[in-house]
Amino acid sequence: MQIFITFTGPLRQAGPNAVDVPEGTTLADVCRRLADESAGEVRRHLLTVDGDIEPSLLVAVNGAGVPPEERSCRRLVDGDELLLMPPIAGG
Amino acid sequence: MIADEQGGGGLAPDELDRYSWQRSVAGFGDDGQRRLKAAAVLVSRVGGVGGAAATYLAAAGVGRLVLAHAGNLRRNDLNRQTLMSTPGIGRPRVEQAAERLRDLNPHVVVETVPENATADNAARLVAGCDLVVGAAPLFAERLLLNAEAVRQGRPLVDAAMYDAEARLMSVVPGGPCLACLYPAPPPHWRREFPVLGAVAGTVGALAALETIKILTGCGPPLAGRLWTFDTAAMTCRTLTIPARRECPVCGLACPAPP
Repeated sequence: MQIFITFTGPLRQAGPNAVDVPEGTTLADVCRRLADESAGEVRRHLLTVDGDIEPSLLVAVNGAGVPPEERSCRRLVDGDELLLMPPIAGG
Repeated sequence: MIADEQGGGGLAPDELDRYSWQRSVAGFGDDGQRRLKAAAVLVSRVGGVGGAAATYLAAAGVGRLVLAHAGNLRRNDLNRQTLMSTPGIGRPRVEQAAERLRDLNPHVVVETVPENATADNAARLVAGCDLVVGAAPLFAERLLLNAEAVRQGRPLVDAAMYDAEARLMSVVPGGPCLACLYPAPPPHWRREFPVLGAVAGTVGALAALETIKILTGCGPPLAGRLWTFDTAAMTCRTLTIPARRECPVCGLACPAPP
């Protein structure tokens, strides 16, 4: 199945914009895959040093935010639009 | 003077004239004007974002503005901090901001606090106001004010930007808060960030609008929603923010899920 991805903030120019993943893939699985396939800048925004999903990373699926405690169990479906938003605080 | 129906003071003839173009805004009117005049708003930092917010709040006629910002103006602040001036380099930012706002609207009481939000002053800063605008460049400050606003039952409008992106959300009592999004100060945020003044000013102006909505009821605020604007692509999104009972700041105040 295909998952569409949009990066924002410090990762605005990161990619890919879509990934093909097997049925049953969770949101956390996609984040880990993106981190594994990316350079350090992307990886450090997605994962903690312990390999967990960075809790301050904002994640939304189809426009609805997904809190940290649900990311490991949230299964994606074909066509889901994933928004990955590192924290920003420019004032 | 218009009779005061909201307990917030009447409007003098000069004010009726000054605000005449906005008193005809649907849902705002004289009642909204009186509500604004009766309100006090804390603006945490008056840089690119907070300065724009403070400007439009003063122009709109908020009764009392409390500006909190430490330090003196630097030359490289001037691409975005439009309440400041070149002759003011080296002078306290908050004093320059107050002078400009008093010139803009002498009906607004502008108070200055030459400090940034800290654990020592956050409770006092929030307690003196009806609403908080968070526009500091550090998560620690934003999260401190968020925690105090939630604890004291005050609304918070949080406006932020980075590069081409702007984000805006409102925290209202009983709803999700900034700590639902950012449980702790993120480890990778850097104090210096890429900023075009127009992007900071855009989200600052919208923070003022959000504040006016909350104070007057002239429109539904972004409670429980996060608005994001990619100014490079000129696309915006509004995301729902789930209330988190696990949130250490607002969790107990959030309603239980059905």
